[in-house]
Amino acid sequence: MKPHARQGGQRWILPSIQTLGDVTETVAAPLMDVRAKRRWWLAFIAALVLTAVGAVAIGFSLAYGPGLWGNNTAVVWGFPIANYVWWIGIGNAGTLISSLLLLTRQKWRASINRFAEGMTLIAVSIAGIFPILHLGRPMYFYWLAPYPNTMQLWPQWRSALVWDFWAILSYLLFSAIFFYVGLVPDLATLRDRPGRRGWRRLYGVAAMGWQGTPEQWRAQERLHRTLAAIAVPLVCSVHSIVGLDFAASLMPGWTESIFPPYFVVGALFSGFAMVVLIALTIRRTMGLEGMIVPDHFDAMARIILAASIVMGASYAAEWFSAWWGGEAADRRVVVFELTGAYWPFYWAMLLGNVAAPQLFWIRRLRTSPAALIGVSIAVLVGMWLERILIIANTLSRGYVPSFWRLYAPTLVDFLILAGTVGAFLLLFLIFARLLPVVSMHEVRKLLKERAQ
Amino acid sequence: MPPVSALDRRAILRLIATGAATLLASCGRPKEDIHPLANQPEGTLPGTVRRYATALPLAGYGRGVTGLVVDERPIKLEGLAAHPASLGSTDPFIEAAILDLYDPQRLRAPFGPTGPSNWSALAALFREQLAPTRGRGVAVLTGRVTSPTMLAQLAAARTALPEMRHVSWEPFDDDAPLAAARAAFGRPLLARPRLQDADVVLLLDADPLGPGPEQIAHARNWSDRRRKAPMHRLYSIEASPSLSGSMADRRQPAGPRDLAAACHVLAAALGGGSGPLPTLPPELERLVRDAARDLKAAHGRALVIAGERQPEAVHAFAAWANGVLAAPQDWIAPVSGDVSPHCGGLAALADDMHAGRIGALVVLDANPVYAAAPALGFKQAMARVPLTIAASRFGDETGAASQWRVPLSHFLEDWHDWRAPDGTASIAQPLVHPFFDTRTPAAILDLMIDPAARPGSFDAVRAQWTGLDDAAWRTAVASGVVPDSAAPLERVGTAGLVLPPIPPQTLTIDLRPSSQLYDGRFSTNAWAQECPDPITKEAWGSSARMHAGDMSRLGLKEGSLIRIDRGGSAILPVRAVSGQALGTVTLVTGYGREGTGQIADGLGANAWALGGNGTPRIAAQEGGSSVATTQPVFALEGELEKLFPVLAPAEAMPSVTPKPSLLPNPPARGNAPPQYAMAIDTDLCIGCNACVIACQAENNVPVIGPDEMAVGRDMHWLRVDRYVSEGTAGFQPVPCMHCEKAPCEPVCPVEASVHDSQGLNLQVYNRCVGTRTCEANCPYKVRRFNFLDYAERSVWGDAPHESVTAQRNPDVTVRARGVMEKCTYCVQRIEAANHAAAPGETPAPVVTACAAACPTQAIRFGTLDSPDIAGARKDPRHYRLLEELGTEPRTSYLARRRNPGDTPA
Repeated sequence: MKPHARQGGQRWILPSIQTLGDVTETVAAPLMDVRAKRRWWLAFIAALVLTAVGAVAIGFSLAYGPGLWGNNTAVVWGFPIANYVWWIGIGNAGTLISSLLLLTRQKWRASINRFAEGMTLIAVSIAGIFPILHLGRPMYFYWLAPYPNTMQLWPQWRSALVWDFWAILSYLLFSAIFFYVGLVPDLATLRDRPGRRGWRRLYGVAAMGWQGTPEQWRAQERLHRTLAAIAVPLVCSVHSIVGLDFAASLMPGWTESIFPPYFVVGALFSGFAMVVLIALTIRRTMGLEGMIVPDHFDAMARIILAASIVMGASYAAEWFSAWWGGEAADRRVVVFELTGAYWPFYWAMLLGNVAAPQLFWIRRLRTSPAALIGVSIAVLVGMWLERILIIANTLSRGYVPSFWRLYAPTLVDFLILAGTVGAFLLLFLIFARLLPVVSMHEVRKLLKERAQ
Repeated sequence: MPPVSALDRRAILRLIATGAATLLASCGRPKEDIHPLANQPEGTLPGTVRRYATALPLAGYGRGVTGLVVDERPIKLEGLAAHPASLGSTDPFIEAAILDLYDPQRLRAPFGPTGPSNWSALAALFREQLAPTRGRGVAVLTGRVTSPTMLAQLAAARTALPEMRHVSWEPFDDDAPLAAARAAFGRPLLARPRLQDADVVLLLDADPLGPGPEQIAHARNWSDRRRKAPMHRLYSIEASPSLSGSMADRRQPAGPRDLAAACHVLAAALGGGSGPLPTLPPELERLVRDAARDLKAAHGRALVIAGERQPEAVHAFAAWANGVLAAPQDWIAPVSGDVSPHCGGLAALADDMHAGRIGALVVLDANPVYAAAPALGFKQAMARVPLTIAASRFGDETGAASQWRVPLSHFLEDWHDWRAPDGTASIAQPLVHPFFDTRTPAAILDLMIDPAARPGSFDAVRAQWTGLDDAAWRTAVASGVVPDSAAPLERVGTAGLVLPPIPPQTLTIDLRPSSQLYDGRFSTNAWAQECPDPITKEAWGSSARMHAGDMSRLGLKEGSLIRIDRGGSAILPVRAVSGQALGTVTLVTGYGREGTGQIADGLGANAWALGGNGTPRIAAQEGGSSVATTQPVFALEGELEKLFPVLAPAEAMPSVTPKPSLLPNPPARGNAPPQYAMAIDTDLCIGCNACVIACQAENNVPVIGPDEMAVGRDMHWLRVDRYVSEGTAGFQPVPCMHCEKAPCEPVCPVEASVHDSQGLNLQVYNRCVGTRTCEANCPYKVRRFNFLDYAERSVWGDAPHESVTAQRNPDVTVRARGVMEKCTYCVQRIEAANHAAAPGETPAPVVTACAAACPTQAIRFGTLDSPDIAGARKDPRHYRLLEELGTEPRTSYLARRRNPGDTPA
């Protein structure tokens, strides 16, 4: 891939796309006119199997209890919480790309925002399973909600977990609405294209009578922009609150005021890595080379690079404050992070989150698929390690040395994680078959602007 | 569908009805009158606790207990203040004994050579085979017998079968001290040190505070002295850290060679012996010289104690030293009827068995196949005996090697009597009708004499105490002790100086009783197995304890498997223990059981198999395996030393300024309702674990088994941390701190962790959804989570285990899966006191299960204005754990003290 000359909006769509019809055709044709290819089916079956395995593991966990996992009395949290934080981090990027870039008039977002939003919706849905699954008594998860009850029992508002409950719930609802509002004109496009009647009828219902009148366009744009304005603080709040689950505590290594911003950046970071992976995949497999162009990767690689520097600075700040703050317990945790039982994972995390993205200083690598895939995977793995290590390091090195216990996950832990990866793939594959993965109306607008 | 069983519907219904009827009939009070300790109102109220005095034996000695009975079910054992071996407190063995009563592994009916049998078959056997022999070739093997009834039965048996032989044998015997006394004073006597009167104590590998029948009394006496000023001083020379050694002001590790040499040096310093002195390691030399200085200075109040398992010569030396020092020590004639050597008696019996001179062997509550010296070949010897009968409560090795295996009643199921180590007799009343077709050892002896004997042992016990009229009997039974029955003190002459021969410096094996399983008699007890060892914190198994230097010399790593050969062999993992003497390997007994059931089988290695003589051989084995431990780090360094402060005798704790807290200050409540708090004196805690098991029994704490323990999910609400801080070992019991500003409370999303008006931090089980955030945020890590359905899961394998639920305290919720739990300060006892108090009246003082159990009364519980708590909080040694965090715990501590009296080097 080669980045293009930087002029106007041109570099965000290749010259192979000339007309508005080309845009629609490129995106919609694979959806409606072509039967699913063999490799789609293969991927679908693989994802289905993985999901089924995870579902069985979850079923066993629900039947027998959290004792099937590696958690112990010192490290009471484990994979489920790490998975939750990781998935919700990934889920952060889609909305952030859509809204923040929309507000800052970064037009290049047009080609990538739809699938990024789809990714968000799927990732947040998956993330939402974990806080429930991780409970000792998951059937009572609704006790975190202030529902009217005769005993007049209410949730406890001082607990970050209650804020978290609301943060996830509102974020999930919001993401769905935001996704849908952006999708309506494209649904109408699909309705109006020739194709199978049943499908068109379904799209028609979902398009809610969109006719493309100036009135409707104005309303849609206004709503979309307003939602985007709401989205930015929401995206920041959701992961800040996840950070507060840890920071609003007394434990060494957790009580750090840097946690909320550091969690938000971390989320953005892993989310972009996932977007890059998905963009590379759909670009190749769905013939979107004309729309998702090397410059997109160049831009995203820069964001990943910037985020990695912030991450590195956050780690350094953590070490520095442990040293500077003079708390023996904090120092013990930092020493344990770097040299303790989990050191290979900690250093692997630093490698993935801080070292690997530095490759993107080299312009050529920012558009090299191999480098992009490698670094993105390194970042995703690194961020996952960070999530689990935040839990394990602090809880393994608490205040009382008589209770320093190590954490070792079980097979069930890994199967559940694998199952959620499977579920993510599965849902994304379905999404890619049902809905336009690129926002046709926004790319068309971009094309129009280029023409002007 | 094929029928699931051969039984038809009617047969099943009949069986169910029979079963239900049997169940109903099998509960209830014993037939004879048993007498509650206090006056009870007319009739009984369901759900109320009645308390009965009774007794339980350990190694043949009786220890008084109070049985708590609810709705005809004994649910908890506590101490008995009137009894000299309990003094109101307990040890882990008393606390765990209640579980044995309900244990699903118990033997239920006699089992003969051809399969299930019954007592009348055994009676017939006795009639046919024993009566004609006049006892020739008949041997009865028991443990130590102090029971007046049993002794009378044995005498009666000897009348009926004049040539019958009785051998009494305890795995941890007192052969050496008796032999030493016989040599010194001409008669077998036992020393009874008065630790309460000793200003300076030197322990020669002795562990008076450690597991054994006298642990509670010794610990109480020791703590009484330690509370007083001027501070006493405890010296310890021992091979492996023991409870007493952990509490010592000065301690040096020493193997047998150094210990014997130390006796020589000490003798010279005390004015005895002559000739060249053996060399000692400089540290030990210094300790011995300082000890000698202090012992001499404290003439009349100085004491030397030789360890039970030390050779005769060391006991003889201690007898001499105590004579010279006019030590506070009494002598009594042994209260067991038989003073012939246990070892010798068993060896002679084994010889005769091998030679075919024994025609019938009856083993009553002893397990020689497991614990006898391997050289005796007891199992092979049993095969040569035409008739072997073993009576025990649980399946064991001796039972497996016998033709007949007959079940013994639990001690709480029938009448017994025992003497305490000081001779005080107790008549132990049953608290419940026998669950199964079981008998007591006395009743089995009865059966040997008179095959038509009735099964119960009431008649025999009552007949033994005909000296007590009905009123006196009633008083004796109700109070748990027979008044003025202690053994008279013996006057002894001067013991001559005996210097122990100095053995060569070789690798030695040191066997000691497990603090949980003793000699193996608690191996089948799930609570005992799950209780972490005080020194290594190992549960459900035990490693060989070695010096790290020896391990590296032999190329061993932590957890490496080794095979030790001495007489028999044992394969087990090793663990480096700091404070272990170079050249010694310590093993605790009670593991490596076979045929006992699901709990004990296959755990660890049998240390008794190394009971041979000579130098052991140690060889590294392939592979490794580690035993689950609950504590990874013992040594505190740097900042961590603050967790376990150690003070000089008159030193006070430095004050700590807590960090500012965002949480509001607790409301000022005054003393109404009463504000509860706990104060734990780490200077008195000997780490015995009585509190841990007491809490388990009181609060329905589930047993989770070895696998879950290995993952680190122990459920004990109270843990006893062992630390070595500033060169001093000690124990720190850690229950919930009941913080005024509890970090667990604000983080709970559903408000399951709440504070009450009495200052208790409470967990509302049925509100808990199991986020575990409270435990994540607890700096003390005192909360426990039901990761699985521990309350319903069985560690007893496939055997039906419903019986253990009968032990559960009806006043304490059984926690469901997925729920967090923790120490409640025994809120059920607090609430019981609140309910009992009239409106407006102050509730009666409350004692938690752990405080009630504590033999040294290191754990004190009460209201903030009670003398105990208020006094402790004003003590200069008072501190709170992690006070700087600003959690304001209600549980607080008194610092460990150390009174080393070092000579400047």
